[in-house]
Amino acid sequence: MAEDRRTILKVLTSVLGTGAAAAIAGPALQAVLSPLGKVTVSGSGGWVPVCNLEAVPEDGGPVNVQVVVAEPKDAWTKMPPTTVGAVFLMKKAGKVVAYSTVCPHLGCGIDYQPAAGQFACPCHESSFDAEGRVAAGPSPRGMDELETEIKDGAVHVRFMKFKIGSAEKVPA
Amino acid sequence: MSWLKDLEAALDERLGTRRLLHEALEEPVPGGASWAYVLGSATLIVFGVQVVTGLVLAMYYSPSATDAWASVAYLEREVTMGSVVRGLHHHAAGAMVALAVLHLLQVAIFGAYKRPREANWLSGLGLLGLVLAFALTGYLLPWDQTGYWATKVATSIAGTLPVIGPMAQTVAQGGNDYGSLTLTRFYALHVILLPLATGGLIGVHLALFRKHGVTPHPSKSEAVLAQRVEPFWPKQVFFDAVFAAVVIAGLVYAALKIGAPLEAPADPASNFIARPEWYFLFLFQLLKYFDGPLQVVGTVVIPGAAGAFLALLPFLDRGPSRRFRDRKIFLAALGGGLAGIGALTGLALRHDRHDPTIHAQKLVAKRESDRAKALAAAGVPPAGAADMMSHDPLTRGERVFAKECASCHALEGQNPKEPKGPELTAYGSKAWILQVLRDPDSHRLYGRTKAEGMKSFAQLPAADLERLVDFLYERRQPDAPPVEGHPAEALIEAAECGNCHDFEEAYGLEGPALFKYGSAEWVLGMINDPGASHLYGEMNDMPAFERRLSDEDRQALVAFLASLEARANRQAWPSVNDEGPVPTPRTKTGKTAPPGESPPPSEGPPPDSDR
Ligand code: FES
Repeated sequence: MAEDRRTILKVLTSVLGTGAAAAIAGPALQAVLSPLGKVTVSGSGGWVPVCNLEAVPEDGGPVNVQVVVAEPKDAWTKMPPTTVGAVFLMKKAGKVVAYSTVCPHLGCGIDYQPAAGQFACPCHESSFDAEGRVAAGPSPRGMDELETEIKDGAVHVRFMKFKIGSAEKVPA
Repeated sequence: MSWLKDLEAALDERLGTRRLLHEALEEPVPGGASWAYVLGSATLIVFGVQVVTGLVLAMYYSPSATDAWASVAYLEREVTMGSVVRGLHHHAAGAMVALAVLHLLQVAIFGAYKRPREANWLSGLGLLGLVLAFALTGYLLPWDQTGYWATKVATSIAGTLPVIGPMAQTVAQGGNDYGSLTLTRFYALHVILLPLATGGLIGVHLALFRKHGVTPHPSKSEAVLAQRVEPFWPKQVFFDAVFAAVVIAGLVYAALKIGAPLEAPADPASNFIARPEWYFLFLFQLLKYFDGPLQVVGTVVIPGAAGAFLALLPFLDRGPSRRFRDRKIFLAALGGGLAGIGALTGLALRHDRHDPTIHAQKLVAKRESDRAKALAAAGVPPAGAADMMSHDPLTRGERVFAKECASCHALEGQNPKEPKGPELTAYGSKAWILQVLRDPDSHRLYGRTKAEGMKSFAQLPAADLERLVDFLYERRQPDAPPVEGHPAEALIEAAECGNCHDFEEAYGLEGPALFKYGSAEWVLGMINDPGASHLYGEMNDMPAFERRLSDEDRQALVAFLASLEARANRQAWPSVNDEGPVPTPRTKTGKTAPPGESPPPSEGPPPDSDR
């Protein structure tokens, strides 16, 4: 009988303990996982005017321009105009093409080497040709091209980031 | 289930878990399990709640003067379950203070501090001190009005200490004034030093508890206790679990139903009346009784003496007997102290409940807090939430009004000592305009100004009055149709409004021009220069604010005045369908206002005011 009582107490204690722990851990865990699927830092995905059309060299060589977003939000802060990244712009067959400077390998910043006429990432020595294709090195895909548009003589870029390290170009 | 047994055996072989578990659970409890012992374990469990919820809060909190408030508002608004986690942390803080104090009382009443348990008593007192330090440092972190001002009082007290005061204050607040360094300092204490110290001291406290065991009720003799010895597990653990579950259920309920307060962002320029959390109210009340050179009595001497008494208790009450009748003085001293704390808390609460300034402030505080949260939803600029508020036209306008206008104009129950201008409750609304038409020389409106003497239209049929009101209300629209050809033209002519008031931009009449009446432009003109010839001219006695206030302040005032219509309380002015004078409504305190020389604006116009 006494043993039965002890067993009942043991079971009840476990139930109470589990319930109480879940009541605290549940909300805590949800809060920790809250950023999943949310945009906590904005400034990606929208159209941004980056420079005048004249700033892009006629000879097809790239120019590196900064992407300044008007009012990006970082969590609770509404920032003043802020540089959120950079792009390479080139004129090709009369059109302006843009490449992200983010290396698809592991996210370092890509440089242009005028002497070699190609792009190179200093981190693990990936290099890319003038079309943004992988010329050498570990990068799983070519440089990420971004959409462009010319409006009132200004180049607009749809600035966004893509998943790092995968062969496919998918938005991050 | 045999794999479980294997696992258990394997673990035991390597870690010695069997002995550990045995020691933890089979500890004999002389006299058997008791509900009296649940307080300590519940305090410990609530500390665990604080560790878990605090860790989550720390993931979203930014200890900087510009960011702190915004980060907390973000947590409340955007983070899944963020407000619940913060609510749990807030209420658990209160619960921890309450449980620790109850635990202390139970221990003291049972005489459990006596030899050989002196060190355990002292470590417990140290833990209580740490709990209070947690509460004090945590209160500041949201950097809202209450946290900021209440904590300022605490650090200022440090500053009044003899000799070391100024140094102590500078070190405590991390600089010559409150700022980001105060927050980083309080945050470091709150999330690093205090948790480490508490963890360590809990270890000591538990080890000593295990060494000495429970202290049963003093009335139980050794023989009775020896007869009934139960192991800690499961009965005592069950009691502990039941109580802890009740406490946690209460916390979850409070977190969901009440949540944690977040006042408007800390504003060093405001004169916020701050109150500490309920468990510090008695200390706050104590301050009121000692001022000048005696202040240190209330801030340090009395609380210090009480603390010293508690610390010395085991060494004062040295007799071996734990029976109540042998310890009357000490129990009386404890009871007296407790009664004192209760009385002081009660006095503090009662005072605030009856203080009209505090009531008024609560309304403004609520409005500012709601406004700040609404603005923050669009993001807080890098200059911080307080700066965001100070440039918000509505908030700024209300503050400018309080400073510059409220000494002459009554507003929503806030009455100046000497109301010199018209009451502005629901200013610009149809109800307000109607009241001007009906009873312009009421003491609530122009009766006390040089502009008194406008004809009353109280005798007009209600429908005509309503059309006049609509006509005047319409003047603020950019496309308001002119008087000529207006459906109300005949009515306006019959009322002879045009004898005194211009309705077009050709000024020259005696009364204020009503061209664009009530528009932002017209209101700004009134603020800038009410004595301008097209406004009140010779009849004006309001100061011109064009040069007294900045452009931003005057624009903010216009925005604020425009907002009064929307937030008007419907009782403020009678509506067009009401007949005659309004019955005198009750004032805030519940008393009917006496018809004195400066009657409150909530009183209706006196019956004889229709001349
Ligand atoms: S990140 Fe560019 S090569 Fe590795």
